[in-house]
Amino acid sequence: MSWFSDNETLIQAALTMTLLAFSLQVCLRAGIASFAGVGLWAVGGYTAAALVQHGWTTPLAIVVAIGLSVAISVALALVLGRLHSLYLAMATIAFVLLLQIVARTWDGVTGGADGLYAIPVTLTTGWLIVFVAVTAGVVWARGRGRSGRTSELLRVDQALAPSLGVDVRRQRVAAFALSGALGALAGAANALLFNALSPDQFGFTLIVDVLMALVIGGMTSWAGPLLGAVIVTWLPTWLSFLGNARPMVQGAIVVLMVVYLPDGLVGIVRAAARRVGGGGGWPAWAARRPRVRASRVRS
Amino acid sequence: MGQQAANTIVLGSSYLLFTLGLSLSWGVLGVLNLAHGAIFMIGAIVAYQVTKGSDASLVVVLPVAAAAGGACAVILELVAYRPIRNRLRHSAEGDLRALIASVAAASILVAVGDEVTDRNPQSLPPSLFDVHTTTVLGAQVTNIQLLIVGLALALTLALAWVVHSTNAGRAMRAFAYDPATARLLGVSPERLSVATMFVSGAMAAAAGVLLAINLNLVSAYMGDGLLLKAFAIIILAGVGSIGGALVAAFLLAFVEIGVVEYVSSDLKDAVAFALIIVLLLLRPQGLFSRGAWQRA
Repeated sequence: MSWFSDNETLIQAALTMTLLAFSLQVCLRAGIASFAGVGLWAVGGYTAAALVQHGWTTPLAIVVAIGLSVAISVALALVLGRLHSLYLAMATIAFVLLLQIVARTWDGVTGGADGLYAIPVTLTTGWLIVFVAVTAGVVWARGRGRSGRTSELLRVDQALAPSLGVDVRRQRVAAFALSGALGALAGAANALLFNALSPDQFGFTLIVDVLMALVIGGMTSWAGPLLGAVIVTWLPTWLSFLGNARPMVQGAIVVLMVVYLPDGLVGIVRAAARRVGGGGGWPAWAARRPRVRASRVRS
Repeated sequence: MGQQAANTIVLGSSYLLFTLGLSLSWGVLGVLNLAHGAIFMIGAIVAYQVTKGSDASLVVVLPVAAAAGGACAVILELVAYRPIRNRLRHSAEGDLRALIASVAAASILVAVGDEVTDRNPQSLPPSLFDVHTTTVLGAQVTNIQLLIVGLALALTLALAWVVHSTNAGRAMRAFAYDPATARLLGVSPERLSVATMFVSGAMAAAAGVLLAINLNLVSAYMGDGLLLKAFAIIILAGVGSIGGALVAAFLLAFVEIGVVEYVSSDLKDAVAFALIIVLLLLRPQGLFSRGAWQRA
């Protein structure tokens, strides 16, 4: 139990990072290169923090933060509806950076460049674990059955999807909305656990950290983001013996993984499980991979 | 008024110098190299490191820095982009992976930059380039600013000439249009991609040296802000369009300086981001792009 209390801050950081990684995973897994979740992390964080500071109860503040973020996400999905791959990626990065400028200049609500501080700490690690578990369940359920096949189809061949009866637009709006909700939940949890929120905490560096977690863990299952977020959070501690060379080694690890191990650590475990147990062995969740069977995808 | 015009031209030329290489690698190879800003920074870092131990002048330092930047870009191509292209399962997935790889590569270069500058902004010695102010048509400009404007325009013309009138340029355009057919026509994708990345990286690093002298600043983070501006310019221009980049760079500089003058300097950087979102909505192919044949 002493390890837990010694590392509680890191555990909280890893779990909030997991929530944000889930947010991006929802879009990326369906072939939607959107990083908007990081922007909604900020929207959710500032909204929840400001409401709690004004005396709202925590659950209500979180619900309002998520609601606002979902509304913004749906609007964003409709507005950015025509964009794909790199163009969508850059438009959503621009959206995140635009929000960062808003946070820096809108002193009255966001506290400007200094940000908000002395936010009441109203969440506990226990609640955070519940959030992560529920979210992981949602991601797991989405990766199965029809919705999993639809996601995989959208990622592999978006042009084919309409001819198989998949409403691409509706799927995109749904993915954006879920991603926004998870991003806001992550942001609200972060603000209500760590009592301070400033514009420097998000922006490009946060996008990079989350992508790193997703690349290291792998994007094809619910376990990947959790594993990746834990590793990204502890990596600086583990690699601290490298001294000043640490950031370079960290960057090199990500480059090599994205090139040679695109399915991340979960991909390695899955491949090993397939070799050992022929697909049915330990661990079963890792050996199973959603496969597209076109004839069974219907909207 | 004359001063504002001069400021616009200098800022636009800086943007142009940074953007040309990014537009080239995107237009020809189809990779959006987010490490471009870091390679730009490496140019300034090399100049800082070389001038720390010697009083070398710009004539020597600029080619050295450009070669270093080119080498970084080539390494990135060989270690990351080419293996990703070769192991591609679906093109959309490859784009995203190349994007993540370039972000991670940029973080390596930024860490190197942090190390060299001791995590503090540094400046370049006057022995590298003696900056002094002159008056041109009633506006105060420095000699380094004149050099930036001159080099930006010269490189734009040179690049346009290479792409439109030489065999190498024809090979680039053919490759951009259809890599498979270009290969049948005798274009070696291996050599072409290395050459393109080298030119792109060299231009970024050269821009880094000149802008570092102009701002009197060498920092590991000096390229970050420029990357999204360059993206806005490329979107405005159309990917790979050189003439478009010329017009778009000056247009962005003009709007930014107008915003600083008449609205608020806080919103200067918001212009580019807002422009990206609006343009992608209204005209994703860019203002000046007429079709794929025009790319690169």
